[in-house]
Formats: sequence, structure tokens, C-alpha cells
Amino acid sequence: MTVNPAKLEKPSATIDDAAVIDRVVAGDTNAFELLMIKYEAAVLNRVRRHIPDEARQDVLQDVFIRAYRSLGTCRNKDGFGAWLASIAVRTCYDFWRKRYRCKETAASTLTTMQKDWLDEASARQGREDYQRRLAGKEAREVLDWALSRLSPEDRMVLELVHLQEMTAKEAAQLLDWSIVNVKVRAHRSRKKLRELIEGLMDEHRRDR
Amino acid sequence: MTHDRKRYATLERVFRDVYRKSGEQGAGAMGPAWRADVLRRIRKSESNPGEFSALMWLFQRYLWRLAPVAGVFVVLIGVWIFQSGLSPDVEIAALAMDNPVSYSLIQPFGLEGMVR
Repeated sequence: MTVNPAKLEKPSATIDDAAVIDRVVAGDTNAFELLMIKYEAAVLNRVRRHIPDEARQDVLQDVFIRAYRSLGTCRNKDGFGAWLASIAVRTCYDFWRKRYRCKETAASTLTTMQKDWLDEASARQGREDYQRRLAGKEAREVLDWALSRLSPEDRMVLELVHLQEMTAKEAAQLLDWSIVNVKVRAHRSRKKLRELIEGLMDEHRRDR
Repeated sequence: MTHDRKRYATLERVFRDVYRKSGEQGAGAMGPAWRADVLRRIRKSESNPGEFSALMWLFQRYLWRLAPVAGVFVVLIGVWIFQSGLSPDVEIAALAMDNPVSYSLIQPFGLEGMVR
């Protein structure tokens, strides 16, 4: 059975989440599309930061399927957006856990170009230089290399607290962890990242 | 040392900016075909969110957190059984050889006096 969007009300930012959730829980699966349309972009933006391009669609699907299945547990229906964001972050975390378990993460090594970039980027620089280095793909590659060497827990906390600059409380709510746990992990993961990058820079200096 | 710290601080800023920048790229929505696919998968799974019981919710949210406590209990009971010299094989043999009529299942735990 396919969904005819014409049969659905026009979705807007003002649709009543609580009313739609009640309809879905009562068995109207089609009404779930309204929630998907409303929150699709927000969830995609969140997922995009954590998940590589090739797996993004699947993870996004999983987010909405998980949300649908546990819709009955959504107590604060007016806070559906925050609840969905939490599901999205935990789905991303599960993605990395699964990937690490399957050992799919390639033990990639950095090229000389990427190592050179690291050396240059860490030096003092003018505004133009900074923008140019930011635009280069090496920056993201080096970051991805370092993130791939962290555990899924450290990776998620580092991304939320240090790279997205969320507070420990916000990250704790999204991950459903305690604030203390987030703070401890955030500190450790930052230290690990620093050790990784500095180790790489030392190695590069020795090689030259 | 201070120089290295400064260099790393610069790098950290670059990483933060590049991370943010890459998060801002790309399309903002997936489209109707993708949504139809998700709904198809949902219907295929035949699960209804309304069927989710309160007990299940309670378990998912809180009860699993008691698993470590349950683990500790298992260890404590194991230690107690080991120290009290309980040997089930001997108890079962006794059950077969002695008068089973007066045998109680709580005998091996030494609790029969407490129950009577």
C-alpha cells in the first residue's frame, strides 16, 4: 500500500504533534508521515554530522522506524522533537558500535599530504590562510582518521561536547547517560584526541 | 611545551570549524520516495506503537539498570552456597534413599526450621 500525500493534511511547523502521535498510536500509520515531513530536515542535520555519506540514508530510516516503534513510550508528546533528537543520536551511537564490532572501520593511514596539512594548520596563520586550510579536504580526513581511532562512546561524546559545543547536560539527555559520565568521557576523549594528533605530528617531524 | 599547546589549540579550532562546515553541507530533506520506503518498512514490520506495554517501557527505561545488582546477588548466593557446603548430589541421593514423605525442598537450604 502506498501513501497518497494528497490524502494527508498539509504538514507545517504548526501541526499538533500530540494529536498526530495519538492518531499513530491508535493505528493510523499514514499519519506518521506528517511527523516525518516535519522533522526530517532536523534529524538529517543531526545525523549528517555523525554518519558518513554512504550510511546516512539507512541510519535516517532506522531513526524513524525506531521512533515509530517506541512512539507509545513518548510521554511528553509536546517535546517530540527533543525525544526524536535523542533517538537520532542513540541510533548514530549504535551505528558506530555495530561498525566497530564488525571491524568495518578501515585501519587507514594518513598520506604525506594530510600530514603536511596537519603541520601547516597547527602553525600560526592569517585569516585567509585559515579559510584556505579549512576548505581543503585534508582537514576533514585528518579529523575522521582521529575519530576512527576512538571508541564509539568517546567518539560520540567528543563530537557532541567538543565539536558541536553542547553542554554536558544536553549531551547527557541525548545519549541518555548521566551528566557525570558525559563529563568524564568528554575529558578523556579530548585527551585521547590530543595524544593521537600530537603523536602524529611527532611522527611526521621525525620522518622528515 | 607552551608552543605545542598553542599549536594544538589552533588545530582544535580548525577541527571544530571543519566539523561544523561539513555538517552544514548537503540537501535539507530526503523526499517522498524515501518517506514511502520508510512507511513500507514500518508496515512490513507489523509492529504497532500502541502495543508497547507500560511494563516494557519500565524495563527499557529503568529495570535493566538493576542488572548489576542482580549479578551481585547471584555471586553472593553462590558464595553462600559454597560456604554452607551444599552438595545437591548428596541431597538428591538422600531424597531417594530416605523417607521422601518427610522430605522438604527447602531442607537443602537449612530453612525448614524457620518455616515450621
